[in-house]
Amino acid sequence: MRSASAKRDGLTEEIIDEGIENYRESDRFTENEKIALEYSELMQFEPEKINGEFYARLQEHYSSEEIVELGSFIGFNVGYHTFFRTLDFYPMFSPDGRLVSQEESRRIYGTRPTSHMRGPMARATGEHGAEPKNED
Amino acid sequence: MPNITMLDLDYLEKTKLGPFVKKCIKHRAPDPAFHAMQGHNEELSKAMYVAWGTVFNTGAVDHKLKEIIRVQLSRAADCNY
Repeated sequence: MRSASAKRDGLTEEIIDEGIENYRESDRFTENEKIALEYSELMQFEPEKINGEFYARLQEHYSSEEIVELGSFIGFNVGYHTFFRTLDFYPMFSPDGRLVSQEESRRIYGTRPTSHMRGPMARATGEHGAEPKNED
Repeated sequence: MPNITMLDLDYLEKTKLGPFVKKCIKHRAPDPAFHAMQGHNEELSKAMYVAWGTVFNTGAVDHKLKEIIRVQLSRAADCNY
């Protein structure tokens, strides 16, 4: 399930995967986008690293208004995804945009999402080249 | 099996969440499961949907970047949603 408007604007699954797993080395993303993705990654895995120095770096790329917007968006999603995970349900939309039953959705998405944070997880744990936790 | 009852979309469309469920189906984000789970508390589901739409669909930060972040965080939380 993906934002229809983001898709219309040219966002593809390939770009999403690269933005999650390899944004640091990728030449597809601007420095502004890279630090936003780093902000999000740190918020999830290592929030203690988001300190004054990091905000000073952010301010080289974003206004205070934009930082508040990004931080609110990231915080909202960190909380919601954690809550929704505990409820143990599946998306009602299939990746190709069909409304599907929970049984079909589970068959499609498996017990864990695909492409499970290889890049960020490896960076956070120091395990370069770490394998996904689960692929079914 | 979800840990609380997942409400039917047909039912939700007859409640005050109906217009918001239709928007979810049209825009595909958030997934209508947002209301199927939270619709047990209609006022809260409506308020959180409006807040989500504000942080996701408005502002100066590029929407495509927000979508990448949204998927990044979903995967980080092992959230199938």
